Amino acid sequence: MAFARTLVVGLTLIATAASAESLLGGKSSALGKGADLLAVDQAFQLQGATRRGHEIALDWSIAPGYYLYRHSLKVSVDAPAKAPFTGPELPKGVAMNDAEFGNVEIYRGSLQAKLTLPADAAAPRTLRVKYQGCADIGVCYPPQTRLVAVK
Amino acid sequence: MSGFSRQAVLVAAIAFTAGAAGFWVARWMPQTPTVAEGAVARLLEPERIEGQAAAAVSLPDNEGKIRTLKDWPGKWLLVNFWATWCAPCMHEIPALIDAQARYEKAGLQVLGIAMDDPEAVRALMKEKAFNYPSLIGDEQVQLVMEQFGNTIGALPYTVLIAPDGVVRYVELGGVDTAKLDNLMQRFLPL
Repeated sequence: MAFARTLVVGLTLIATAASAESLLGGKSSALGKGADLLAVDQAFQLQGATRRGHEIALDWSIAPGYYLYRHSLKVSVDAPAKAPFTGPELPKGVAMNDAEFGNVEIYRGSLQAKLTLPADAAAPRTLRVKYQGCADIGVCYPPQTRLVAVK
Repeated sequence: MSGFSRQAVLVAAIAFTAGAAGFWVARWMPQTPTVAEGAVARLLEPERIEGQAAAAVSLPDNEGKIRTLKDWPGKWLLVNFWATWCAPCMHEIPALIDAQARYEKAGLQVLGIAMDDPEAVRALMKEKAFNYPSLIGDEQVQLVMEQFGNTIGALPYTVLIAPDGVVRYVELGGVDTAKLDNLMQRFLPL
């Protein structure tokens, strides 16, 4: 009996963990009459801009079941105005073929965009970052613009 | 089985169960960003909207003229929130054009509300040969969607409003011809 009880408890624990995964991932959400979706800043967490020498890295954490479009990702300098940089340099994304948009690249899981700074110019203190993405269950979020302080 | 053997099996079962549970948790933990408590909520609230009077809308249409929902008196308004950057919105446009053509005589008026740049909207409406108008806006459209129960801002989003101005149905995500046919048969006097 003790063995059976232990197995039941174990299976319950596994089922709980599995349902937590699907809730957070949103993969099992049903569309239509009320869907559980992450708010945009939870779906696409822009974790900040970090400067290391002549490089600035912008990092995103993308929730399971969501993706960002490569072609929508844009970076410009907010302050100081006209601070020069090259980039963003983006990794190769996952190919997606859309009936309307053709062949596009998307990012899942995590993403790092890199900017390169010239050696003899003022470094950007604040960046203006634009991005846009969707959820696998068939909805898209509006384009987002964030001002990000460079750490 | 001796007492010792039963105990050994029990310990092994507990270890296996804990390991399996740990594996499940560990599998999603590194990939899943920290989600603030309450972030995964019912961000779409049809029960708060259906049966209620439709929110007031005042936005320019694709010709730049300010329109409100009262500009289509006596019609069943199928309001479709969309954008040119939204792939699922693009996919459902043929079904909306088809519904407008087939159910207009039964009192249907499809009305787009685009969260987008006016030029992009006008170009796409021409390319796709829209047979229904679209209002256009930016942040304003997001505020209107919130009033219609979509607090997350995701597209596409479709709302059916009866001639008496009461919201009868809301739908998050794409619609197709079969879904629209069902909706029309359920609500319109066919």
